[in-house]
Amino acid sequence: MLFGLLETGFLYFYWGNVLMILIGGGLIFLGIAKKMEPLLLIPIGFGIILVNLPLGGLMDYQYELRAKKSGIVGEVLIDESSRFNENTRIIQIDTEALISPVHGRITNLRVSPGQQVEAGEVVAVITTTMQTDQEEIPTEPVGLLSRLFAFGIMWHILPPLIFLSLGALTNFGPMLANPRTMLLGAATQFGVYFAFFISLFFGFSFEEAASIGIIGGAEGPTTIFVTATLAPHIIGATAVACYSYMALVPLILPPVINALTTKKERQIYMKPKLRNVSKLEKILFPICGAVIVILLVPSSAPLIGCFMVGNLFRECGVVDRLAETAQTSFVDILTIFITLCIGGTMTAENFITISTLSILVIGVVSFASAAAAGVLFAKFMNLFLKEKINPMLGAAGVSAVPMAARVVHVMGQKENKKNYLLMHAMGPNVAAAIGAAIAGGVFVGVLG
Amino acid sequence: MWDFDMELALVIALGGLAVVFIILIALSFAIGGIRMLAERIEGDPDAEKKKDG
Repeated sequence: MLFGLLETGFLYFYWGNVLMILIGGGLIFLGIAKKMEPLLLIPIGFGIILVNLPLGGLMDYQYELRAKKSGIVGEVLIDESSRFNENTRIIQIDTEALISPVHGRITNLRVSPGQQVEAGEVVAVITTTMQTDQEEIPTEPVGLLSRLFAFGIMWHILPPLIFLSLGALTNFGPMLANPRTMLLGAATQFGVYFAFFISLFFGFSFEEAASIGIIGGAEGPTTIFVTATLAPHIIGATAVACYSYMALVPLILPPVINALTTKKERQIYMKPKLRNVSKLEKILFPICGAVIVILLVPSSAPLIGCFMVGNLFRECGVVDRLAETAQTSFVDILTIFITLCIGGTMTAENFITISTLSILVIGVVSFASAAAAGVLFAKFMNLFLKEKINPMLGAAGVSAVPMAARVVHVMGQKENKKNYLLMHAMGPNVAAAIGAAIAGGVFVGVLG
Repeated sequence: MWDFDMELALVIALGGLAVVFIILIALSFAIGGIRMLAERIEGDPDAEKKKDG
């Protein structure tokens, strides 16, 4: 009892926690000092710090270790206060050792040596921060963030709701005015499947490879949705890779564009004014779009359905209160929950692994290959078009709305001061958001 | 040579990319249809502007 009162986090504090706290601090620094995606990086960074303070329990789950068959308890192989890794032998029952499928520490040892146990009886309760496949390794969330994560993200509530807000913030006008730019949004999804293949070669499973590949879609909520469904144990790495590389789009896109285009191609002039899109078109598109996409890929319904209803709020003009809420306080609240949860998954035990490093490397390859595919496809389209499009628009098909479009616009102005590419670039940019949701839906449909 | 099902991987990757293209092409046709419908109901906004001008 007295020991419990005096128990501090220092007992379990190790170099991994220090490293993660430094990473969390680094993200907060980038958010505050460099203004890089501060709305995302600051709560993610602080979430990382919070869950790497041992015994805080914010991201804890409880796992009940059960005897596989009846027998007499022999030696208990792990002290109650020790931290252990997954697949560690915990208790000897007759001649067989019970192995823990999760890392963590024993918080309640329910048996003692010499005691008879029955098959299926709980012998120990283990506290862990590990994200597990609930069908194989059922755990119960017991911390603030683990409950938010379980019921908000694993139940697929928060990512689709973020999509609703994104829909309310998205102007489909440029895409409706020039629908051929949608093809560029489709071409950039090549990055998703390229990264999927690379991940398989790195030894990841199909589910993990799909979750890593979807990083190339450059849509945070889609990445979280797919990973939560297929490979929840790597959600911290995929989400952070996706959001970090979205913030780094101004550094990733220019070298890819410069490598694949000539100066003359980058100077291709496009008339600044797009045709006027009527209000009726803007109202009909989200309805027709939802019907077509969901009928063809039903598993994309949570994302596309919410995206389109949010957009209808925006365009119909009679529910301004709903549109305004979705665009402001609603998305802010969701962002707080989702980012704290993502930071919360990044405990040292979960994050400091070789696979995390691989995911970060494949993630950047995925972004770059998506941009490259977009640029090359734009050049391919130019072979058939009378009025050429600037191939840089292809790189705007890396979703990351509206950052990628802005980068293309700024580069276009540098090459040709008369060029005003922003509205043209918004077409492939928002089409890529739809494309990424479809690609995610396909993964979930096939592998989920 | 590799320890994963290459056939399944190719089906997912090529099939997935094809599905994305097909749906976005279908959507662009739908946009064309929506435009025609809107112009029939409301008239062409650009032509109306020119007329007013």
